[in-house]
Amino acid sequence: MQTIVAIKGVDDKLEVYFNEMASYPSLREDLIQKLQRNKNFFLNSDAKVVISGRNLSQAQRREIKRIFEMDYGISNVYYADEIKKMTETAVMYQAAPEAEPPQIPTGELELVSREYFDAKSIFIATTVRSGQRIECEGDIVVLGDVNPGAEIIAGGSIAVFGTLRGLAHAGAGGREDVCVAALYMKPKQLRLSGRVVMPEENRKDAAVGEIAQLVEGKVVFRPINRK
Amino acid sequence: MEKVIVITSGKGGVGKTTTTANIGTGLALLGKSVVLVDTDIGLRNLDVVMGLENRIVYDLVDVVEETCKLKQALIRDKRYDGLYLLPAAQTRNKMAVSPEQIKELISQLECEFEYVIIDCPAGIERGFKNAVAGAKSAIVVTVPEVSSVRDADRIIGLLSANGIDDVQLLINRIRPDLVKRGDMLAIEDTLEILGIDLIGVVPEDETIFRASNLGEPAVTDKSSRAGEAYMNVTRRILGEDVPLMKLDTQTGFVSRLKNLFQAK
Repeated sequence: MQTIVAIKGVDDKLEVYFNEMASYPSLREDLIQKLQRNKNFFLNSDAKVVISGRNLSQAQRREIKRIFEMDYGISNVYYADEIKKMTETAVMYQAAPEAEPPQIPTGELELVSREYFDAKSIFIATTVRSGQRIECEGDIVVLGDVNPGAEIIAGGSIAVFGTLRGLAHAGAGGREDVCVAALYMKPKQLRLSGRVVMPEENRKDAAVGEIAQLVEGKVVFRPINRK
Repeated sequence: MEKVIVITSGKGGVGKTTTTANIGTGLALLGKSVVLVDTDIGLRNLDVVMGLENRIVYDLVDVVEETCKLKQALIRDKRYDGLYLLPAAQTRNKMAVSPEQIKELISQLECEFEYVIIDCPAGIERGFKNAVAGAKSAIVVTVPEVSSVRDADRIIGLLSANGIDDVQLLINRIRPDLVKRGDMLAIEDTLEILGIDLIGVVPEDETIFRASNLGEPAVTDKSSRAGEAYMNVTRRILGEDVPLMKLDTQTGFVSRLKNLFQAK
């Protein structure tokens, strides 16, 4: 079986190679397993980690960095293509990997309830509790409440079929054609494309079903059924 | 509720140990065989509030490390038939045992007792992981106050991630006078945020201090309102449909006299 993740020690660096043919979820799982198996070696080491191989999105890169940092105390993690410009050598055309259905991870990662998804959009059919973070490059729909201390981070838009009390960030990657909608809009903090607002608590005129959007640089709240 | 229940909260000082002691004693008073397990290694308290501190010879860590047999570590409470305590160690810390070891221990206890009540320490790290290993259901204890409710919400999420979905809420130390004034969260507000079933509401009660200091759980004190509430919780665990206690502020002599003569 082809190696999915290869880890090699070179001088004072750890070179990590992500197989270009592998899907992101399998890369992540293999990395976690390899790190876990050699936990004592990796834990809190001062090693500098350089990652090369399959091109990852910004969100994926951040997630990998987080795994190194949170679980092993390694904060010197770099991506090879960020360190120096790619030098063109021979051109090789590789077939696109088969699209795999988004895999929902199970096991000990879930203890901290951080749900990493490699999907275009996420549909959560329950309430999101304090400490849970849902992150996705696309849109996120929650059937239930988002409690204070919970974080919904979407590259696209967010819709909450319930009470939004926690943090929601739509357009987290910079997109501005996004919105945050909720039946009961009571967030502690709302973020739209990087702009932070702290809406008034206990608004008297709040309708059931509100949508927040960026209009000319300002965050505007309006009832859903009003244009 | 299942037979193996973990009493947890996230927040410290809201009444997990007091709840464990009272539910355990309540179950024994109602004729069940119960073992109380203290998993707060390093900061053990369950033995103190049960009044069994001076009888500890072996503890949970001794059992896991096979220094002694499980039977040797169990302390039989001579006051209540069928009530046993497995104390925590005081001179060790939470890394001394692993969740797998506790799970194994709990499954042994399950065979010997009708109910296993596990007292969980505050927090969400190793102590919590140890305590929930092997539990089949949970009672989340919260006081009607924002930080406690925030932590309870986190804990409910973590319990679910650990496969425990049979979770009920116990609202502790409620002050009806403060709720009326709007200074304290009402029961409905707390339930709205946490969204789980309520197993009971226990009022703030001075008798709890005396009970802890004497090592005699309030559930045995006929004059204790908190004790009465805990007995109601115990009954609900056994499946009885007990209505919530009326919690009003009238405790004066005249109103007590009035209540005496009111037709039920």
